[in-house]
Amino acid sequence: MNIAWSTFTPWSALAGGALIGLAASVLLLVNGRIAGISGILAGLVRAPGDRAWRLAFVSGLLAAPLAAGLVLPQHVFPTALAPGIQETLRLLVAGLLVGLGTRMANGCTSGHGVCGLARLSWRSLAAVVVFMGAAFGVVFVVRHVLPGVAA
Amino acid sequence: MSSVAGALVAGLIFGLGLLLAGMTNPDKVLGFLDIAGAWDPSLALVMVGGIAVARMGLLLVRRRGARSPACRCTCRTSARLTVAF
Repeated sequence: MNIAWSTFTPWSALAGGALIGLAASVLLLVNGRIAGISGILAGLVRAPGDRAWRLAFVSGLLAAPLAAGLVLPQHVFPTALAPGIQETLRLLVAGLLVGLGTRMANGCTSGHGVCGLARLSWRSLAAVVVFMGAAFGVVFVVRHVLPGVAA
Repeated sequence: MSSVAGALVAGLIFGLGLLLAGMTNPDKVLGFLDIAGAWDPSLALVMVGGIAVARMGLLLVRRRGARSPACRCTCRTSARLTVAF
């Protein structure tokens, strides 16, 4: 295994993660809610009386990255920002798959990965192992198997 | 209780965390998922930081007991926390 030392950012990763954990704690303490993004988004559609806090949360979530993207785009999004038609369609399909998968699993990296594991939930551990495994697998096939097949 | 201000603040902190951790950059995430390539372990540390702090928050909520909105369901009856999604 070959480690990408040049892109490895241990301290900002830990600090960023700590902020995510803090955000989850704030939401739990103040609202009594789990900071599971897929669940919060799903509720925006399916829980009509319960939208205000969800809208507030999502707005807050998007605000910092959007602001940073406007001020320092190269730092935040080093890859090209203007996707063509093909790339846009791929993103839409990918997003749809993420939405379907996270609803089937009742959670995502924040709901299961952070909040569920913090609760020592076996169900969340199962979810995390499976979705991370699937992600490692797909990337491996796309990057290291398919290019050889196509050649 | 569903405090809009609390949710907004939580969302802001979450967004800042993602930004600081580099999770807004797809290449950083892909770098973690590409175990056969140049592997960037950063995402693992994001999870470690997140889980550690979230666990501390959870223990604090449990200690606060029935006074916290998070415990409206079960804190008095069970040691395990069950929260509405």
